Amino acid sequence: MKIMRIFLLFPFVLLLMSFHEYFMSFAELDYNEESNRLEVSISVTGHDLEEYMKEKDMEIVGLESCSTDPISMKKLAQVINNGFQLFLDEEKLQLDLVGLEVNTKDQATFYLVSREIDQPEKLKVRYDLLMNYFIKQQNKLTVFTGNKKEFYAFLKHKPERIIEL
Amino acid sequence: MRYIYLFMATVMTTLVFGQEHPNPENINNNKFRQLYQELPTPNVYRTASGAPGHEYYQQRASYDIEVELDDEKQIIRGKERIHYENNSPDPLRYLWLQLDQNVRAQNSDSKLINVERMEDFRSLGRVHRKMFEFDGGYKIEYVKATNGEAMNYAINKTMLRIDLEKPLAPGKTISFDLKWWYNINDRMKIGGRSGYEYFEEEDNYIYTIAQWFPRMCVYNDVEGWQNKQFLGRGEFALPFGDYDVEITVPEDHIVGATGVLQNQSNVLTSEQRKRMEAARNNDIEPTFIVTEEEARENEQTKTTATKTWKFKAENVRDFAFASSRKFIWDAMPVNINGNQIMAMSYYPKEGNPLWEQYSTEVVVHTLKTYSKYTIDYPYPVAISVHAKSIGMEYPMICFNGGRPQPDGTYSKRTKYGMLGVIIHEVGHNFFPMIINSDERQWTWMDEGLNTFVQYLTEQEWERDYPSRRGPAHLIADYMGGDKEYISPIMTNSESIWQFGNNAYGKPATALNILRETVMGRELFDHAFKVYCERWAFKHPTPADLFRTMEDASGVDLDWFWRGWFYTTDHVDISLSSVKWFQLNTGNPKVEKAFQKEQDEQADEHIGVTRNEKEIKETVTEKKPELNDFYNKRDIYKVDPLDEKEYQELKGRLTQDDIELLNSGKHFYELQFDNIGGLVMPLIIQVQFIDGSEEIIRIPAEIWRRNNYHVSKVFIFDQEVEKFRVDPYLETGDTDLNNNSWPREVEPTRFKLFREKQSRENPMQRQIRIEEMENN
Repeated sequence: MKIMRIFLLFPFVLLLMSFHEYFMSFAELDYNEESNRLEVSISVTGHDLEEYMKEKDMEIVGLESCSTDPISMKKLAQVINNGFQLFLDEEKLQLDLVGLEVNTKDQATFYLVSREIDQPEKLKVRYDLLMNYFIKQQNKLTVFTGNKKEFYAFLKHKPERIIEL
Repeated sequence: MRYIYLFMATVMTTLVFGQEHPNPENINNNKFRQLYQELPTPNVYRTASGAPGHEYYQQRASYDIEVELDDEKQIIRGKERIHYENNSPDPLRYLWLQLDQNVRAQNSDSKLINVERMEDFRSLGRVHRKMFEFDGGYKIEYVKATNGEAMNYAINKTMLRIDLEKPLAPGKTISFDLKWWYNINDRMKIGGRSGYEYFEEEDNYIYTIAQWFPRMCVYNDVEGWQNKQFLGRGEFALPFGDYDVEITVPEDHIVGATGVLQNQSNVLTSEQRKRMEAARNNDIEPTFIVTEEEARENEQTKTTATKTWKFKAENVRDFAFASSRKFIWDAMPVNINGNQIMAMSYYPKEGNPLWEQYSTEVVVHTLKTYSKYTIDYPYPVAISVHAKSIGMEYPMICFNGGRPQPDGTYSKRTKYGMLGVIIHEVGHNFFPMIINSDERQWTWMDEGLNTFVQYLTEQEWERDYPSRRGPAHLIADYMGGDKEYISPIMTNSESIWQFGNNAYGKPATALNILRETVMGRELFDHAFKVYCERWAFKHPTPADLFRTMEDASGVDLDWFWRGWFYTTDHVDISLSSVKWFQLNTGNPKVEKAFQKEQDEQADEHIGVTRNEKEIKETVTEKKPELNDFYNKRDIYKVDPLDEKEYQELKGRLTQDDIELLNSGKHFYELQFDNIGGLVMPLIIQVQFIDGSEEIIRIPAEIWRRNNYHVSKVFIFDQEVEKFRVDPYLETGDTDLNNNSWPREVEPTRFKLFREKQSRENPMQRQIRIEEMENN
């Protein structure tokens, strides 16, 4: 049997979750017919994300200050882009982080856009944001198609879904 | 869209169509069937009204404890005498105690039952935890009768059974002694509701100590002995009793604990006692018993001498304490219906400036607000202790997070997070410390109810307080769509998926919806208070809550409990179609002119339009003599027979009937579909063409026969421009796109973000103002 080596992270601080846990993030996906781009927003609990960044040794300034700190934004973009991926005919679509809002309800919302593409009929979505740290993490995607909304749940054993637009 | 329809009905009519969801088992799946099969049969202990029965009983466990905190080795050593009263009608052959610290024993089931994958061990901390290096389980030194004779006992993981020589008879009390010790866990490294936080730079500790002594299990009419092991999530079920506790700590420590300090003169300086007396008479602002400056000085001392703090607590279900040389301590009295309570906070300098400004003020506000909605706070003190990153509750004392940055700055998110957690944890004094539900079985019974009153309390703290939970629309994303790994609220604490949303957010939202939409504030508040009064200092179950809320309000809520608590259905009610009608007046002058206008406005088939141009002449145009009566007849012309028949009709009608026919009223038939499965009231906003509007509220019982499709006819004096369902976001509707007529598309978050981005920010606006003034 082949032995695999794992690389451990050495965080400066080991934080622990509070007992009032959240462990859910909510994304929305829409195709903008004017700009011909996919628009995505991802809302995640602020303290979950901060704990995740620390655990992964990706120190950032306070979430509220990240939008003016390019280094922190780059780290966050890396986490978000790894945690939410779109595939069109097996090609991974680049999603550019264009904004971050943090509110007093402890929600951090990231805004992303794709390059210009024709409206796809189907997309493969991989949405495992934070799942490799919070075992119970569950992510939900709402897809806007015309006047309708479709909901898709993503779980650790089911991180990918095919969605129809 | 306009239809002509002879409509003689004078009342609104509900049309109910056949069920589209046939029941394959031919059993009653109606969402309004009563909860008889789900709820336990009422009996002499718990009545059908939800009140305690005439033979309701509960056990009582009182404790005399001596405990020593070893600040060198981080060890707790204690001995206790338990006095256990058997108030049940049953003789007890054995007694069960909880050994909750054994959740940290090296052979703890809580570690074994975690589902794991290798990717879960990508940090050293996680590997350490997996290696089970820390042994935090109890070391029981003895269990003895009060005469010193050893008692037989057996340990089953987090529980300890004492076998009695002869059964404890009903009405009798037994006393016995235990001695034990355990290693205190580093809360910041391996987690926990209690433990210590180490401050490396100054070599100091803050201890927040709970679940620290063997405690009696609950024995009652519902479960007999509460014998569900502590696996780490489902919290505690404990009987009430009195506590005398002596806590020995380093001499320079300050101790806060459940209960009232009995030996101030031994443990406080004369200055501190003077300040405490002053605090009792100053309800304007908190008074410092230990200032930050004094705490900073205290941090530098490392005495090996000890002193013993003595506390007494009456009629509580548990006892916790906090101890540190780092503590700043402030206090302020609050008067609850003539009972003076000391609200107090203990926090290190790292908590400031937030803690000195807010903690005790928030404790005071929480006691006042919860007392208004539940019962008067009955205890003499209420304490908030700062413990980084957690929120955890015990009688009269709780441990709360909310720490500013090292430079003393903090974000709004940190501030509101701290206020929220203090309100929540102080609020737990009511649920479950006083209204003493079984947390091991039902997390939602304390967390959900507490989160609901937390929301009310937050809103009374500050207008538009950013509450995370409570308003219906905040739960919509969680409830909607895919239901895999979503549990009904009525799920045992250990088996819940999405603990926070399930046990905190959803029940709090459900109660808020009952209050705001289903029952109304007056009925709800009365019934909720009755529940709290009935079950204060008792052990309620879910059925006792469900039944009391109905019993005290006169509202049958079985459909609500069934949908919101027993299923994972969500709210998605669609306004699927709108049809518009007007009454036929019977007057041929009016009706024929109206018919002509309608026909002229009717859309024309494209073939007709093209034929107008392409067919130069038809046969009847070429030969008009081929036209007969039907070709020549003007169907819009009022003839004498029309007039005669109208006069005859008028003769048969009353004056009221004629006025109604001529009133020009507009009839709208609205079709609603229940897509999400939860039956809910219909809240319909009607906007008229003159700009006015009306709100119509229809009880959920409209769905009582057909749970999925209903229609309703509304009569208005004027034309409607727009209908909208759930305009005030009261029901948690997960899809607002299907709530309006004409259809309105709910904007995505991205669209709202883009709109905001396109606007100038306040600084840009200020620059423009200055430019305008300069020009």
